[in-house]
Amino acid sequence: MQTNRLNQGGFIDRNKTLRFTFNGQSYSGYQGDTLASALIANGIKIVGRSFKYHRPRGIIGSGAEEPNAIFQIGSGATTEAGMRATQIELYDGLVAKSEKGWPSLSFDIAIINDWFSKLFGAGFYYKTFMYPAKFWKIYEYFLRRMAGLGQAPKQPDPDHYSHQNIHCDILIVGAGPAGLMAAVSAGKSGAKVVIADDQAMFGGSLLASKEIIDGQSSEEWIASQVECLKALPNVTCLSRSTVFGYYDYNFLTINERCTNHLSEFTAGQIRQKLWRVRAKRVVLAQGAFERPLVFPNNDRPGIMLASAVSNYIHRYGVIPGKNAVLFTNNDSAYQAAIDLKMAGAQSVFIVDSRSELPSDMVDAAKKCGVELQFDAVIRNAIGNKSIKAVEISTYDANDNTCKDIADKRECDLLIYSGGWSPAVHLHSQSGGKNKWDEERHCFVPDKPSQASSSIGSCNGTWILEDCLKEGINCGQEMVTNLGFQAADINLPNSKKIKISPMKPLWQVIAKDSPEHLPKQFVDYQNDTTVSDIYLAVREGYTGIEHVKRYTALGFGTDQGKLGNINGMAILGQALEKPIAQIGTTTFRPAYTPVTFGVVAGEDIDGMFEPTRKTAMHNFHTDRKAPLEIVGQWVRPWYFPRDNEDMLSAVSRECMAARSSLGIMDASTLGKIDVCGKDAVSFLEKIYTHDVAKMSIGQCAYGVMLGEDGMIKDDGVMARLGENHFYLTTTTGGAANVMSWLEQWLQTEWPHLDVYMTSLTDHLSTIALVGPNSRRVLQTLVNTDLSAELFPFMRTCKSEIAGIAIDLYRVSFSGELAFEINVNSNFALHLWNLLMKAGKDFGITPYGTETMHVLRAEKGFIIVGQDTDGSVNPLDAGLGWLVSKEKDFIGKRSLERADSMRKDRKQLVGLLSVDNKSVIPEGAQLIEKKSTSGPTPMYGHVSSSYYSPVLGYPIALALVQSGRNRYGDKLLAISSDTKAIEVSITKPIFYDLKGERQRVE
Amino acid sequence: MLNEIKKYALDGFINEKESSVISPQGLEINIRAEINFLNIRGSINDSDFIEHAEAVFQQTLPLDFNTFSVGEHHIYWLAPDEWLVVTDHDLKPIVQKISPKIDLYVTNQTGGYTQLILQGNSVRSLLSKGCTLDISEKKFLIGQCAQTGLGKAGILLALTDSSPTFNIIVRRSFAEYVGLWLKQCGNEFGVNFTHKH
Repeated sequence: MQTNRLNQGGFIDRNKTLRFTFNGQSYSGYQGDTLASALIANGIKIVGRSFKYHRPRGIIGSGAEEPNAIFQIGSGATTEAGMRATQIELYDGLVAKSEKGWPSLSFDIAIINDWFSKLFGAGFYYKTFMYPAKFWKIYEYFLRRMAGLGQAPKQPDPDHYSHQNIHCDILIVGAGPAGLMAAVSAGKSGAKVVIADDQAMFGGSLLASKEIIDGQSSEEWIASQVECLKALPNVTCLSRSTVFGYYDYNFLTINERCTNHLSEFTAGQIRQKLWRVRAKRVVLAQGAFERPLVFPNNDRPGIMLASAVSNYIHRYGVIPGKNAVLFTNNDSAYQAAIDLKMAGAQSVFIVDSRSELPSDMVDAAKKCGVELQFDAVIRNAIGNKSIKAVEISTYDANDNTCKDIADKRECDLLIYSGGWSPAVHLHSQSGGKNKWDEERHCFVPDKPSQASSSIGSCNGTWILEDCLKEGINCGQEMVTNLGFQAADINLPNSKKIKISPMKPLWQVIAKDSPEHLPKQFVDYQNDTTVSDIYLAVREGYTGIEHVKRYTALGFGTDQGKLGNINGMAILGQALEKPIAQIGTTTFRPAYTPVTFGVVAGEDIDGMFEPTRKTAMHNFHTDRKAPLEIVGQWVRPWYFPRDNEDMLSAVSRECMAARSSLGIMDASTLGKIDVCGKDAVSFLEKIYTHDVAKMSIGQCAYGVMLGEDGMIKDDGVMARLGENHFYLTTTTGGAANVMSWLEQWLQTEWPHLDVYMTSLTDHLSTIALVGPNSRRVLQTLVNTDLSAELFPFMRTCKSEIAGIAIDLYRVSFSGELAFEINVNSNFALHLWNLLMKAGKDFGITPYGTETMHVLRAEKGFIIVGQDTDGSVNPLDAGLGWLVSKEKDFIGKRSLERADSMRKDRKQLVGLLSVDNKSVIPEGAQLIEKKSTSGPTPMYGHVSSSYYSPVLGYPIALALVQSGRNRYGDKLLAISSDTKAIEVSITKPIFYDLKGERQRVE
Repeated sequence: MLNEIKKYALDGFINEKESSVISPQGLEINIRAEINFLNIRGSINDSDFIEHAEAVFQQTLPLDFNTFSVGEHHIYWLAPDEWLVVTDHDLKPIVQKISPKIDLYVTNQTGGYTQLILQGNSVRSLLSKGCTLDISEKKFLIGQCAQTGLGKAGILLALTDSSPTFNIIVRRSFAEYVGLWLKQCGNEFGVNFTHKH
């Protein structure tokens, strides 16, 4: 039964009934309701339990500020936690659960926290659950259950989310009276405008008002403005869209909820969109939040903000109570009393802390039959699970004290209003400061730090006419600054009323100290009370940021929307300082919670990261090779035959390459073409070896160092012409090396005439490896591959079946080998030709694992695996590569005493003493386990494999003074195997003289 | 003969079984792999270079940043000393015309790029889902190009006519990602992929 539903009024369709459940009970509401309005219509008072004390709580607000009605919505994969009922549009079949309350909302066992609350002040957890330290795991289990912050779904989210970038001249945040006027005046001038509002309908505060504007009802006036905006092609209107983040350079993010109001899951449609807005100017017109008043038991269900009451009556045709008491210190709350009376409330009694002054609002309330009492406050709210009565005291505003209880009055609804706080969140996020306004008693935005303006009530402007005027002026000024001709807009007519000023009342102060009174809540979501703030001050926390962290004031999804200003003022009272000196805490994005789904957008699953594939990729997958990700590339790891396991496959591949013929896809190598008149002098500075001495057609292994003298990257490079070179880089380092080289060229040596162009994608690289590689390749090319004409470390151009190729006689395996570079469009065809040509020699494709084993057997390093940014070429045993005759990047660092220390970690080989244990990569090397104090560590294992050709395991390691320790024994220890005894050797295990790769 | 053995990055990308229904808001994406790419380097302070380049390619070299020239080829500005020629013509006879006396350096990039041509009413909406550049009508004009990002891949984007037609030139190894990105993100508009040979 919708007992609190009015017969008429509101933007709801009484012909469209929607069914929903709340904590398992079925209810109904109407199209146009929010979940909150439907719950109130159904007479639901308790909607949740509080965070710490588990006190019953009711709905306080009607929008983003709601601290209590926070629900788990939906079930299974689509469930969402932390949703505010005031922001959820009702749909048929909606399932809502309150996040706390066990075994039930009306009886929560944890209410004992409230009975013993004297024990549970701020800091209780820090002080109590510290000892004994190892019990924390047990404490945590129970504490997390008690806290109950909703549940994340365990299944993948079936919904579809997307991102949209947009650039505009002006972004307007909030479509209330000020925002709408700004949009109309900017839009009519032709500027590209985006206006976003978090509600389903534009209009903001006007939706809950009966103002007459330009002779129209507020409803008609909003409709005419929206119609005008929608007719402008340069204006984008976004409703249900929360601007939740304001970042540098006027970059803002909007969360648009496209289908949330339709159902829990809408197949095939985008549920939410993330708009990434880059705006030249930003208009902040998000409005203001009404402040609660702070008095004992001010959290009883049935206590509600005055503006929320007006909202529920006007927008949803719901009356939250019939016998109401209204507690205020300002005129704006009188509207709620009038609205209640007009909606048929039996009695409305206003308790005003101020003395009576002439005011149109007071007159209007009296005319409706509202009773009033001035110079009075509410000093206690009575009623456990819902408000039953209030205790009223007389009050003297001048000395800010309340006298003895004067009256007790029964009621079913207590409305309060402590004035208004501008929603300065986005202004604050943008880097803008806020200043305390002594006249309006609120923080208002100070100078903007980016190109933005705050207007309307979010600028502390309360009168409708002033808001409209600010909107017009702001729109016109911004478009003029942007070079548009501002359109003429007439200020709409609205009623002028006389009001009496608000008088601050931060806390109802009684004779007793706050600790002896029932709880007076400041921050509802975090259960922060007045006594917590006093306790924090007593314990020495005086800065607002410290008090925030000690008491949790302004934390969480709430971000202090309701409680912050009261909290700061109370802190000011406790410290006897004016509020202006207290300052605000930092507001951070997100303004309201944002789903992970919309942040991820469409960059999920296979699209999370691009996977780069070589031209031979289909060959690898046809052979069912397991794939390994290297950088963004996917590379074949090994090529198992039938039911081979990895070890057998790799052993077979290694033996094939060592004994006959292997073939590998090396296309992922970074490849850079370097040309220009100064190519030689440029590369002389980059590489440690003598580039100038290279002959045309010669290849060289080279390393590049950072300025710190450490190895940055390595690879074979070749001189193709007088001023023409070809460089290769590691797969993972390709892009970094290219931009690093460009940086040196463009910023340090711009006078050099050098051009670098990436060939990584254009060229595919096929390595033909093994004693039979020359014989097979010779059957395909006309070039004479004999050792006399094409010796080791040479390059030449050639052709296979009409396809142009570049041939390199280089080797990363220690075997006779050729690398063939070819236009990627021909690569797969060429690969297949080679496979066919090598058939008689058992040509064996191999992957990255075999490549690693082959190179480790030869002691060839992999940058990033055997080096880690602290290894210089001397450490790696590459001193022979370092020219003494020229300068190069990192040379000076190599000459530092530290670079030449004898006890630096040096690259060595390791053999396990038992000749069969494969040493885990990453294992630490020690002499013996120490029984007291830390064990000295002498190095670690960087590469480790079983060597099929040798028949025993081998490893590379970095060991302190390693080259002086050949023959020494150490222990290799890691978390997953027993200690393995190892002996130190030279970092080369196979073909020590390098005869195989140079074979004649 | 050689043409038949070539394999391009997006060969096999179009699944013939998938029939897509295109709404009026939808778009056509034409995969054009079978064209040639040539990268040019040289100094704009060297008038001999510019003169020679224009003689070799029979077309003006666009010197304004982020623009391209249209003639026998498309020549895109990539950097103050770098251009990309995209052409249906065979590169060999063109490259043979380059004089070794001039500091004009070229690298063949034909195997390194794929071109996608996007046409339809929703092209801007689709691209702006993953491209942070302002590509609205008034800001990104016909004849303009830009090296920018689409999703997580780098692309060269160009506007060739007002229909609108956008060209995307993407590195070979990122072509599949970009193709899948366009397919997935274009789903809400309807996308039809075609191969042009």
